[in-house]
Amino acid sequence: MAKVYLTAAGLLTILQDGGRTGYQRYGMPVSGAMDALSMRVANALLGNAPEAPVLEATLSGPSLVFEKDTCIAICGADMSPEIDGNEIPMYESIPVRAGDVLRLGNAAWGCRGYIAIAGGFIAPGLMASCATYLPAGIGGIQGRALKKGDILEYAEPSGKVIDRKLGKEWVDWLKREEPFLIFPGPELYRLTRDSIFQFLTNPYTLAAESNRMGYRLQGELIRFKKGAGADIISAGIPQGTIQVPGEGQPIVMMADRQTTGGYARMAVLAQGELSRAAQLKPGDEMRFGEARPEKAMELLKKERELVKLARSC
Amino acid sequence: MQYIPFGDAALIIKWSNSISEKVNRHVIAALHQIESAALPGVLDLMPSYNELMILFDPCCTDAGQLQSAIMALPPPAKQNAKTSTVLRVPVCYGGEYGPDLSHVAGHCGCTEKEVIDLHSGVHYRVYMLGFTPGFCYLGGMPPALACPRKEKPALRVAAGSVGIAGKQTGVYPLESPGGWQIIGRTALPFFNAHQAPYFLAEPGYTMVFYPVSVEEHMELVQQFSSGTYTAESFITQSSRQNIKKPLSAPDDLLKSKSLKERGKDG
Repeated sequence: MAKVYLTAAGLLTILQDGGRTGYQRYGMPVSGAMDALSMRVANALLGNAPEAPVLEATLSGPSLVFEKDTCIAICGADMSPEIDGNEIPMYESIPVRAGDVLRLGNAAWGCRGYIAIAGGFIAPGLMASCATYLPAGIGGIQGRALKKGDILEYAEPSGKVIDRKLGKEWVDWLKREEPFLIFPGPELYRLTRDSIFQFLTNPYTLAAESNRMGYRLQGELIRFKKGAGADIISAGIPQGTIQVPGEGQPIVMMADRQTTGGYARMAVLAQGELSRAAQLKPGDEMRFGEARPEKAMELLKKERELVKLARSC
Repeated sequence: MQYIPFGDAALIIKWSNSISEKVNRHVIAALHQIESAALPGVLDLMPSYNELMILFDPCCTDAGQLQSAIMALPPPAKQNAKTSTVLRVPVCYGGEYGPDLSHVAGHCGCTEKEVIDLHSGVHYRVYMLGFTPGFCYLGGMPPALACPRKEKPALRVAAGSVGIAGKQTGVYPLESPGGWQIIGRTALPFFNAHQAPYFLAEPGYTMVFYPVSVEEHMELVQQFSSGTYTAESFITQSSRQNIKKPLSAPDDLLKSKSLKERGKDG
């Protein structure tokens, strides 16, 4: 085992992996990397298991010093990573030497950057996951965000140098700016036709209080039909669910969402849109479009192809 | 019963638009039926009052395939409505642990003792869990105990706090902010982040509260933290008639048996 020292924490840096599935019936939020695709690609570039523990940095990244030679890969938000002052590329495997200082800055693009390390970071698991879930203070390192002075452990380096690099066209695809595809939800019928039309036409802005639990959307308020309320009998809300409370401001449920909710489920993002959504930050715009099943499947296939490619390029 | 696809990775089975024990029994039966069938692609199951949400991997299956597979399953085992898994929850009512007991009594126009008797004198159904890890949505609180939430939520409500909000009662599994009227506290850990089993209650359980003294509460807290006592010993299989009996005389029960015995035999 080897160690990495945090000489700066960044704004909100947490250990994440694929999250805790299988416990939602007990009210246990899934958590896990917001941008699961970036996590998978970063891990694939190093030959790791797709959901091996990674660092998720938010808006501004940490600085790390490595104890032993190893390889890393950085994907997701562009935080202008550098080693000992020299800029390093993202979306490829990068050898680091003992004593190297990796520094990430502010996100020039995106919101969440992922740092993977050969063999993965090592942290105690809870329900087969080390995902940090801050509201309950569990997972990761003592259930909290990382801070300056923390020491993390990573797998003993194998000594093997990995040399993989993802083509620019893939990175461009990840950063595509298109409407987010949504499927109708079980309570969509409660909304006025006008509101549904508005929602698919006008842009919405992520409010300041948007976080890993959910994004509050500012824009045209959603109206309910006469006699139709916003409240439902509490029921399941998968990631990407767009709920509408009575005041009409939609909320997109993200990785740290509660397992159940009591507001009308108007729509849900296509699975292949979740990772792209994770790169939005407060103030960013979100547009929506109606998903066709074939198009949604195309996105998923492309995601799979990308991870496969990252593993073999 | 209705199958409703929700996006490309979830399928909802919905039974009705109302909350009832009958409907919830269907949900729980389907939960167990689908779980034991181990259908390919199913990632997680999320039961609620009147729905079962099935989360699946869209690269393995789709809502249509899943629906056909579920409809082809042998019907769920008929549950015996007369027996139930019972979780007995010791509660230290009032005082330091239940600062809002007097407020609830005042609101309901009865004495604190009557609030305790009412609250611990019935059995509750765990309809579902949600909100926070281990939080049980309970049905069956006597309507006489209904009391509005606090106007200003408390910043810190201790784990184990037993509260009333509107027509609902529940236990906070974690320390969190909250607006419920807190009438007592239990030493039982509803969520244990350190070791399996992480959660005490399952959807479909019957839950009963019984009063304990401050000393007994402290003893329980100590026994749980030292590991000499496990929360599972508070779970029993009982017939419904037997659940009611001891509850009509909780005081006698308290005096007649040691805590440990009570936890074991319910």
